[in-house]
Amino acid sequence: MSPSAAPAGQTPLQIAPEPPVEGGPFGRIVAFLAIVAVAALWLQHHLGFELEKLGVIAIATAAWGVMGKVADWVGEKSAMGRFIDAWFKTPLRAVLRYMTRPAPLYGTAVVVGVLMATVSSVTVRSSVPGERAAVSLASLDSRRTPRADTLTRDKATVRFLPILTSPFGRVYEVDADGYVASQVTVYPLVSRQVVLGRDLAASPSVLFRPFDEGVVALEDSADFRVSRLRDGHWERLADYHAGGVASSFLIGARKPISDAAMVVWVLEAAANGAPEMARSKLLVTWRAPKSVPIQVELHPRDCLLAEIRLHGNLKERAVVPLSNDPLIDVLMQAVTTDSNRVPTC
Amino acid sequence: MLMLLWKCTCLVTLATAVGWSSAVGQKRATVTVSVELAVPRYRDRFTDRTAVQAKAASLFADYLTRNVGFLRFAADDSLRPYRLAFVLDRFDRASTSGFAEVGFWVRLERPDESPMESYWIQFRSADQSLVGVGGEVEFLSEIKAKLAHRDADSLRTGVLRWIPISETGLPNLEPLGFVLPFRLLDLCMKRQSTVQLIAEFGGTVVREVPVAALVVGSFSTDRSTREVAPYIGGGFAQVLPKPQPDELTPSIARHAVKVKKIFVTGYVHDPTACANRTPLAVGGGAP
Repeated sequence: MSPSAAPAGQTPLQIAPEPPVEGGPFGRIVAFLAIVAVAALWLQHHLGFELEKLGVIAIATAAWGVMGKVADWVGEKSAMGRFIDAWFKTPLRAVLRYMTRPAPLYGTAVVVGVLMATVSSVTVRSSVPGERAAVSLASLDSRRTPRADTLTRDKATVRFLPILTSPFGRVYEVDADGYVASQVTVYPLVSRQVVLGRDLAASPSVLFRPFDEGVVALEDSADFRVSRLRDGHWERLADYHAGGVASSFLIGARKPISDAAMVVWVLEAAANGAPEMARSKLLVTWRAPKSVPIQVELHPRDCLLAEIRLHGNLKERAVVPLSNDPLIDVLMQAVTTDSNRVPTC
Repeated sequence: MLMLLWKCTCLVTLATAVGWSSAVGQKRATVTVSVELAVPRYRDRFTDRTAVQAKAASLFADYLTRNVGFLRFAADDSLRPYRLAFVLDRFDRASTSGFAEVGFWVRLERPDESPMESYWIQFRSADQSLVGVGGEVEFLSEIKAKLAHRDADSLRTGVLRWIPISETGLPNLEPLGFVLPFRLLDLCMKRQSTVQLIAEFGGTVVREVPVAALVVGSFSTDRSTREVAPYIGGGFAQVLPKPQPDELTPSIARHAVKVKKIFVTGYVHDPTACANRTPLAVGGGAP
């Protein structure tokens, strides 16, 4: 009989499985600290905690700690040390002891996990240093007022936080002055970085240059009008009274005019038979565009119609479909056909 | 008493009629002057274009009145046989360029003849083509300035030589020539001016013959007949040299010559005589 055999009439002893060994306090502390570290990294990522600021705080804290140790070595328990012991270390120890219990630890892990899975941020900056632009962010599935902020010379980054999302992402629309509004998907964990000029295309600007009849009409106090084709109808964007001064007209944000463009202008004027003096005047007129404010943002593929009218008589006209080019340069021309028939893009 | 009053009235009427038909009282042909803005940028500039054109026409009529004494000019819409239209248009009418020179063309419209037209005065050069038209005042001032520095020779020897100043004249045998129904002073005309007459030669076959003559002075005679009286004091144009063969002398002797039209072909202007003329003072009336 083997020593392990059970006596007769008696059920053999059953070997009960060993109860699971719970992690000890050390393991829970590590787990808690890991949760705190991950949460801190996540917050740092979204808050944009800068290394320089972190360094300053670390140095200040270290200096404080060193001063406390020095006080201990010389046998002086400073009043501040006692204050910190009483108000910070003791409560912190108590909190840590509490948080390392299973229930708070798991609860914290779940809360941090849910937050990380549903809250994110959107960071907007410009590719042009020092650019000033109003930025707005709106959820496509919400009717709430868009959140807005402004990029300035001193504030190179705009951060929208918190942004509610889902583990599979949520779509937001980012808009900025001078740029075409764009939709971005915001995912959890990582902040969505938006760079104006890269992720948001610059809103196209249009330079309308009046030619011979237009320049003369503008000097005689003609009006300049711009319309946009919308749903088959021309929607008036601007009505500008030149006040007897001829100029070119810029719709949209001011963009630099290249020297190469001016060379083309000279050729254009010469090809149309402008004598030298008239060419010079045209260049001077075109080189100083008047900004015509409009209330809407232009988009690629918009169709614009510009007209110069004197006492209601159409003197020059231009129709242009907008492209992705940042500056669209259009030479207006006298109307030789039926002035009532408006061409489309 | 009534009979006396009647006779006096008749005498006054007769005297007036004689005075009216004398060289002093003759009226020169009147030409209607108008302005048309043909270039679109000028046409569209003025909301009341008709008024601006009328004012510009007055400037041209005034200019012509001071510089061309052998005709009268009126800037109105009267229907007269002769109309002088100053058309502001491109110098090169075939061009559609907006940088073209712009100036005044002068077009003479005359009865039973096709209009004749020529480019007269530059208004804006091609280099000035991008200058705004300006307001009404500026535009009219610019026309005035252009006219102030422009002589009328090309008009006198151009289109205006085709407008007859009169349809009457007195043939004269000795010296051989014709008496104009106007005093030279009234025509602001100096001697050495030349005229061309269309004379109708009677006889078995009626012919119209052009005759050139040189203005040599004023007409005077000791034998004042009823036919001659209206021409006393009028300018005398002598036929120089005599045409060969000379059909004129025998025809005048037979009283078979009748003046149909008189044209001024070479005008020596007397500026002092016309300096104070204004179109309104001499305008009106049929030629």
